[in-house]
Amino acid sequence: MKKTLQYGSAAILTVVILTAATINGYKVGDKVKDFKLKNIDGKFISLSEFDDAKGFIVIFTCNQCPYAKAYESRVLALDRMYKEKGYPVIAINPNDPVAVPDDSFESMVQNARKKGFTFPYLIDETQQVARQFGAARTPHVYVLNKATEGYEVAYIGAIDDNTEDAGNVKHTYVEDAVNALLNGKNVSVPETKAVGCTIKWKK
Amino acid sequence: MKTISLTLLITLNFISGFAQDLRIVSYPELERIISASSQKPTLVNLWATWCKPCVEELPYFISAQERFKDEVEFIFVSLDFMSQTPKVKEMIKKLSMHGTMIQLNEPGGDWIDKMDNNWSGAIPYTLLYLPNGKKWEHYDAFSSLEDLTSFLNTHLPK
Repeated sequence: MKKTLQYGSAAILTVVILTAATINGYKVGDKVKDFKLKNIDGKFISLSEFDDAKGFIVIFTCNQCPYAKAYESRVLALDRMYKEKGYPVIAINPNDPVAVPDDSFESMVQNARKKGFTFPYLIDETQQVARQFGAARTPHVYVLNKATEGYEVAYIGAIDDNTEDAGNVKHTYVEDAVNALLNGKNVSVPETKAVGCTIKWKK
Repeated sequence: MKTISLTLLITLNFISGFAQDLRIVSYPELERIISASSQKPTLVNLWATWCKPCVEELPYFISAQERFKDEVEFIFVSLDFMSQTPKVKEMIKKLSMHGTMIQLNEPGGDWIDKMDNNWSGAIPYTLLYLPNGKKWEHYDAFSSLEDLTSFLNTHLPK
């Protein structure tokens, strides 16, 4: 980043600022600002509506990215496992449907119906929530935990350590994080990385 | 009969020749390949057959490869799933890609930070390694051949 600044033309600076906005975002321990996004049923959803939630598994995902698709059944399993324990899944599609028509709201509705999503699947039309979180790819997970006021980030990263083969997973990062929180413990691996599709930002 | 077996032999050689073009390696081996190459400036492009912006920018790389053939080594690293190797080979053939062709065999994301701490793991992603040890990253796709050549011209030793 610093290196690029040496070439400080206006165009490059703009790029750097945009990149900085996506790279920054939330760190583990940060307070999360509530948001209001449209769900596939047309209703708007905010974190503050979930009275019983101890936290959330927020997943930036989409319809068409093969990595996001590879995880769909595992995301369903996470919701099944943790909704009743107080950590429901909230999926958010941040992609610009102009860049990726398959990630339009209509396609989200269809995809959710076809796969039987049991969790909210929200559209981040302005991409503001993705920027706020610092999401860079799909899928990109943020486990949130209840704080004295609102929620804070407890884990950022991948769902587990084997995208292609669910049968060969060695570390179930998100499960481990939520289990730790349920047991009042610290998350031992609070940050991981994974390969994914870039979020398609509006031009 | 002789002709048939000869044809078969040639065909098999041809096929295995193509198969050799794509090396399936783990991250430590990729690191070795990159460091062995980077006495010369080395451009490493991470792509996948399913990644639309990656596939769209590949022709720029192929043209730039022609233009910079004496100055820059090109390494293409596919992040496709292991089950997709035939598709990777098909794309390499279709675009007549050359240079060092690699498919990375890493199911998880542990290697991402080793490659570049500031990288999120999203592709397309390109890295230029210079012989002096410097490294220049380009997150996201190049918009044109000019975009890619100006990246190279800016960072290559004068």
